[in-house]
Amino acid sequence: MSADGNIAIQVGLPTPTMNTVPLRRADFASLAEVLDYAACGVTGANFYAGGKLDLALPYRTLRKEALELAQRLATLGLERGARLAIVAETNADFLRFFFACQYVGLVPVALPSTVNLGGHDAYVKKLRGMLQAAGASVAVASEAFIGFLGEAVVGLDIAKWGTPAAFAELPIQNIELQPLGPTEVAYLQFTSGSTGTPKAAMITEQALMANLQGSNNYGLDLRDDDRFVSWLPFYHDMGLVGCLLTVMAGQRSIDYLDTREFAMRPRRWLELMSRSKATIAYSPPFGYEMCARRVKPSDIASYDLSHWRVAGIGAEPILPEVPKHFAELLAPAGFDARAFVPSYGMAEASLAISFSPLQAGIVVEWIDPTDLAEDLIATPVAAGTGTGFVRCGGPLPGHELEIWNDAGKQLADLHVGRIMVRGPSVMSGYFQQPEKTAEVLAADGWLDTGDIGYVVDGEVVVTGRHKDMIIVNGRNIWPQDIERIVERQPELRSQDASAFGVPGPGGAEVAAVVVQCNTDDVDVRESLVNRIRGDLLEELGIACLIELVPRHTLPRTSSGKLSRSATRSGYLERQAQAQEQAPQAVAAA
Amino acid sequence: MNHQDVVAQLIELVTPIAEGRVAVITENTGITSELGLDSLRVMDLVVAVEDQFDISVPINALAEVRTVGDFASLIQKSAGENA
Repeated sequence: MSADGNIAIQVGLPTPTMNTVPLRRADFASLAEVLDYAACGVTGANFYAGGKLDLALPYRTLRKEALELAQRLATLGLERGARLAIVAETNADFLRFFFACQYVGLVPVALPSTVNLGGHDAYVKKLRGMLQAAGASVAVASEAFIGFLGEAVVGLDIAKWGTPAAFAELPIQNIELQPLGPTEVAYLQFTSGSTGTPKAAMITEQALMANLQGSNNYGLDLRDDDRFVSWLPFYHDMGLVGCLLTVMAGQRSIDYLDTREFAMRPRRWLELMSRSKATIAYSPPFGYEMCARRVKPSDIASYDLSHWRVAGIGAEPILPEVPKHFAELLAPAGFDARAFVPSYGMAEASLAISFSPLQAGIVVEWIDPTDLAEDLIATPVAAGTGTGFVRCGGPLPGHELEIWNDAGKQLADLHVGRIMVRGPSVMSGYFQQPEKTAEVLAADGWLDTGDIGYVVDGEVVVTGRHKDMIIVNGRNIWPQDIERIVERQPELRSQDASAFGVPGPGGAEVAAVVVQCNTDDVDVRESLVNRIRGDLLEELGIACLIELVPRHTLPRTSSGKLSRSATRSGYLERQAQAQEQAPQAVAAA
Repeated sequence: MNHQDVVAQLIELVTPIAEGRVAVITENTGITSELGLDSLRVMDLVVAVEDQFDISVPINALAEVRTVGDFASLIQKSAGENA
């Protein structure tokens, strides 16, 4: 027996896998109902650091703490639906504030907790842009991040900002709480869009619940012996929805590893999976790749991944070799390649749009690259030849997925076009940005995902993006952000830089930028390149290939805009020529 | 541990990660601007530093680090707090 309930929850141990209440698969009307029911059992969230359990937070304890915090937040007298922004680290405070908002009628929004080396000013600016885009009335950050937050809120109309400890000092108001209801916005989710113009998707409680029901039933076929592990950050939709809300809506326990700890020591993920006999974990392909690259062969035998039945993989294009290599490497640890569940989704659709069938593993579509590029047709070729794309399954029940051409006409199977989605989990729009919303979401409910692909046997295959997004180390990078940062240099003007992605070593994408400048002075040129490199690393955290060309040489479109694709072609040609002339010099560059 | 010792050890750690971009690394070398370490390489460096000096590098403090010398000062501060 414990002090706060009639069921023993053991101190110092993680919350159990098996629950004491029957499994309900997300058949709730709101997140407050989700936590109310989860709190009847003994499962919960567990936070690990340095390979040890730091805190076990049973949902029943979380509910109690969230309700108390909700009473404190009520004293701020904010209007219903006001936004509470929180710098989201992987800790219990994020959960407390997120659910306190649910109970008191505020809308939580997670802010990133990633700061690059030397990136103080860039991070403050990013936070400020997000606080403004969310129209936040309240802002929260831990001791580690409060300094940045304090700078970011200067001059903004914020009712209260501070650390969790500062909020704990608010008086408790014993009012009757009115939790967020089905038609109200449950949270704002910043999308992977350009950091220059942040957009926050509005997800209502009922949209979220439709998505959670889809993932609990159709996607994961959740069982009462399931347990999750996650290292994904809460400011990422896969981390928030996939690895917190989905889990709680099925009353499962989860073990969290801090994202930074995973990035430093990926083996901790496999250790935790082994130790807790977890059955479900998601990651972008990038995470599997990092694990495979860094894991020590001598450690593999010490892992037990035999319980892992759903290895979700998505959030970025999946190169077939990545999961294949991971599965081969970890097979001796009991990892079953059939556990891979490729899925497709985005913040604008709550999270999941499609899931591959369970136990099917990775199914690769091998298609002719020329037909794809020139005729937008997926012509099957022999396995192992052509280009391989991964099938991502069919849409969630109650949702439609179609492929359209640029004229908005629906295309037949194997024809490549825009991936369009409609259904109950689609967002209501981007917060306070009707124009941006209208660009992607039509009045009849069709969402333009911004991705291109085709359908085969009822499954979607994503082949690319019709926007110019570059993916580096698993992060979405927008060329306009690179260009904006580059053009800030005093000797450059607007339209002096053109950025794009090029294939790097091993096939992964690398960012490149071509910059026009009018000096031949070697020292000035070197200084310019160094400043650009430093700014890009501080602000975006990515290395970028930088090429200087004479002024007035960047190709333009007929309307006078810089053409990224023409610049890219020219860049690749010059690289190929240089390689022919002096292979050694290029290799050393 | 004096500052120059830490700088020397740090240069040894960062050299293989920087892959020869800069011939001579000194206290004043910019870790991002000159060595061009991206966020993953920075993590590799942090792991190496934490193992070598037996400290935990606070992520927020990295925001103020630009040069090898800045990082060395941060290491000294972190080591001092642990001692």
